[in-house]
Amino acid sequence: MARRPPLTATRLALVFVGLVLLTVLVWASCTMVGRYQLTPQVWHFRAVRVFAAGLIGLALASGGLALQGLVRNPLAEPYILGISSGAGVGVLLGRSLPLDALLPRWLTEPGLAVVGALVTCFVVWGIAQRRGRLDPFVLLLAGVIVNVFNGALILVLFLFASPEDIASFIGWGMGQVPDWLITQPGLAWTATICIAAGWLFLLMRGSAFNALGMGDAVASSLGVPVQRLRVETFVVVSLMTAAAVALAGPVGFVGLIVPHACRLIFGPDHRVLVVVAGLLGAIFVMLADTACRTAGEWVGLAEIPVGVLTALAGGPFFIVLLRRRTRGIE
Amino acid sequence: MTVLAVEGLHFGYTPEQLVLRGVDLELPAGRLCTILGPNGSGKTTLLRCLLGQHQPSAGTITLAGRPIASLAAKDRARQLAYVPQLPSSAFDFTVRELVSMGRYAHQGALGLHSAADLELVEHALERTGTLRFADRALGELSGGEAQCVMIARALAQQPSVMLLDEPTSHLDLRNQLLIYRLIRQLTREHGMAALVVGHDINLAARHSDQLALFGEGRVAARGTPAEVLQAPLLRETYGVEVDLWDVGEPIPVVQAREPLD
Amino acid sequence: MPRPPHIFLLALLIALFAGCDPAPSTAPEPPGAPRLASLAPALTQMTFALGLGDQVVGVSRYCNLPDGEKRPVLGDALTVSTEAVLATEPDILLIQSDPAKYATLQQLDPSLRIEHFSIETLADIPAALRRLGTLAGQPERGEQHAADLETGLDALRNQTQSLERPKVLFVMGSEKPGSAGKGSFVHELIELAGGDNAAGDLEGWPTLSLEYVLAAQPDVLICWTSTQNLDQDLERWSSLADLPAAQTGRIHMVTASSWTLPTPILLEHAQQLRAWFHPTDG
Repeated sequence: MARRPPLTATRLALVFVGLVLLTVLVWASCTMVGRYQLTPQVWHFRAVRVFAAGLIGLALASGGLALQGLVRNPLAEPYILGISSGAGVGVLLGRSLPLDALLPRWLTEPGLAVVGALVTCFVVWGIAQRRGRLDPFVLLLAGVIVNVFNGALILVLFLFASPEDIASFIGWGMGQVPDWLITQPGLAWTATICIAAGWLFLLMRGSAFNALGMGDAVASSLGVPVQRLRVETFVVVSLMTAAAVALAGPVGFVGLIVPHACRLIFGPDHRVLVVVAGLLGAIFVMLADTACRTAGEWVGLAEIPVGVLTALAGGPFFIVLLRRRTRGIE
Repeated sequence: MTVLAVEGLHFGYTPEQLVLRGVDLELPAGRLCTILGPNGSGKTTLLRCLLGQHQPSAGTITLAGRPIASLAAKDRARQLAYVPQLPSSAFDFTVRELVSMGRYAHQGALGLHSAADLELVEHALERTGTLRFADRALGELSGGEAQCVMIARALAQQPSVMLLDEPTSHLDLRNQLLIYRLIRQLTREHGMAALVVGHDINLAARHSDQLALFGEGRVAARGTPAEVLQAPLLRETYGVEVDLWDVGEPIPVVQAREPLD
Repeated sequence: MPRPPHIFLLALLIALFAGCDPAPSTAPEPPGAPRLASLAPALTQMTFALGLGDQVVGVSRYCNLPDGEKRPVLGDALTVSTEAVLATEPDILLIQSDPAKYATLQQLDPSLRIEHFSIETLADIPAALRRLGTLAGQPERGEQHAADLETGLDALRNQTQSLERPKVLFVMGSEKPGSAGKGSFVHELIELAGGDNAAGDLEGWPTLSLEYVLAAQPDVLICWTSTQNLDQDLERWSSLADLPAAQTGRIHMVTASSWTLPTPILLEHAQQLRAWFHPTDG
């Protein structure tokens, strides 16, 4: 195993600043790339859209990382808490019921997604907790059960929805970076603040997640407030992921692959990983979105949903990484 | 000077069934005290109470004169360190990184190590003989080596008290000896008190300054090994007839002969 | 209370069943006139517009009938009920979809005539009117309506020929909106009404990305959407600050299904478009 130099303040600052600059660079480059000629209006649109893509990647990757630390399992990802299925129930309800009388759809739908996601988290929490304490294994199980139940709810809703509603919901379920954020500054700001604040929170918990790896008893004896950390992380990751799903629907694999790949490349130190995984997640989704905007032409579509691309690209990439890693151990 | 004091500690998982029924214990600085006793006598439960995992129903625990419940988590961690029975690490941190985590209680929000922190970590590695595999992962080490790593990590906390939960139960003869010797040396060098929940009577007796014999949720006997290793006491606590063999040392060797009905 | 005689119960049941009739199974018609079943909304609309509604014995689920009219539903876009078709005893089946789908029907009723219409361009509409008239046994009606339509379209074309053409985009909804490209009749409408279709370089009915819309910079935006989504789509398009149409308030929302059906109503729509494209020109 290669020697990893100890993390100092300077090194962390360098990593942080360097990656932020890289992220901004990628963002700027992506705004230059597209199918149509670059005009100020087109650039403006792309600027907001690529930013949204980055935000979503940041939320999912750092949320996934935190959950992996929380349940001490490198295969955890944000949707285990039932967030995507819960949001799906909310969105499907919104699309199949005539709620247009109450509020315009663009306002209701993200709201419904968040409500569905958070209600589901609440239920998962309720099932998994005991006297306010969260057991990681039970949390995983509760998430699985609730996901299955939500899936059943969605099937029931399908029975009563029109074919068009079902088709449009399935389109949502593929995960797409939103087009219309440019006209929804309120939603954009809320999501940005939610996700950025959550990311900063996780940044401050990096060394606590490290200690958690040695077991609850040891971590607690080191001064880590284990139960409080679990609850806080659960809430923060839920909010971040709910925000991401409210924007783009359930974009899969980013929350699993990016943190795990980062861990394989950069080591398991969460203090660094929160920064690295978060920003590389942002870069990953920005690049994927750019491919989605341009490659659709080759397959006869206007655009490819980004969730399709992340799934197709992420899986094999991860397999390669895993094979190389296990070969190294032998 | 007493660094850790337990007075009249009562605890039960249910109110009717008390596991700890008035435990009294005093741990002086720079001394190694081993708690012995049969399975289910409450040794581990006591440890958990000391670590704050259980709330006692009655009694007090004080650390350097202050009640442990009044201490913030990090304050407590700066004085009290814990070594688990089985070292584990969910992610593949290197030994050096694991030991560095011992500095958590002394760090700020981002958890970054100062030069002083790093020096202490190196010292802990050196002192416990784990420096030579500092860049390897815990999973690559033997049981004894891994246990030393955990002790190094606890040492890095600069505690005044170290709690060890059966640190040698799963180790071979040689490692058992080495671990106990290490703990003993650390108490001498750093003025640190060590409270070991032990299993092997003879091993504990040979290396501890004090023994505390646990029986039925309270300390049945306390004192130097020579004082505590008395046949009637052992018979009553463990429910076995014992033989005490004189091997030319101040402390006899204990051997169980016959279980009592 | 004395038990009512069984005969009253029987009479009651018969009365109930007799009254149980969801739609008239036979429409009043000139005797001997061909019975028409239409599975395409456009064809249904045209048939009624020709005044031949009396000869229509069955329609599809998506056909819009004039107020007060009801006809048995024979099926929808995906499936047609063979039983329902046979029960209404049509002479001619009017379709726009693939004739091969109705092979079973043809086998069960060899005397059934299946007439397939392909109506892609504006020119196809008068042709369809004429053919419908002939099939229904009233060719002069078909000719009349077709001629009126052609005259109207030509008049419009002449009016707008020399006018300056604004850039126009026709979109369906707002989320990954569909549009009308070259070869579609909406494209022809736009050109006829004196506009320049910004999606004119695309074929058929393409899906647009928002980026394309912004790159196209249309002066006028026509958004076709459902009444359910009307507010949302209007809100979205209006707040798109980079869109010239939004800046000048030239966004027009339409919800009638006739905008995307190839029927004579398109003439009215074309005139409406002209009014929007050239508000100051007579």
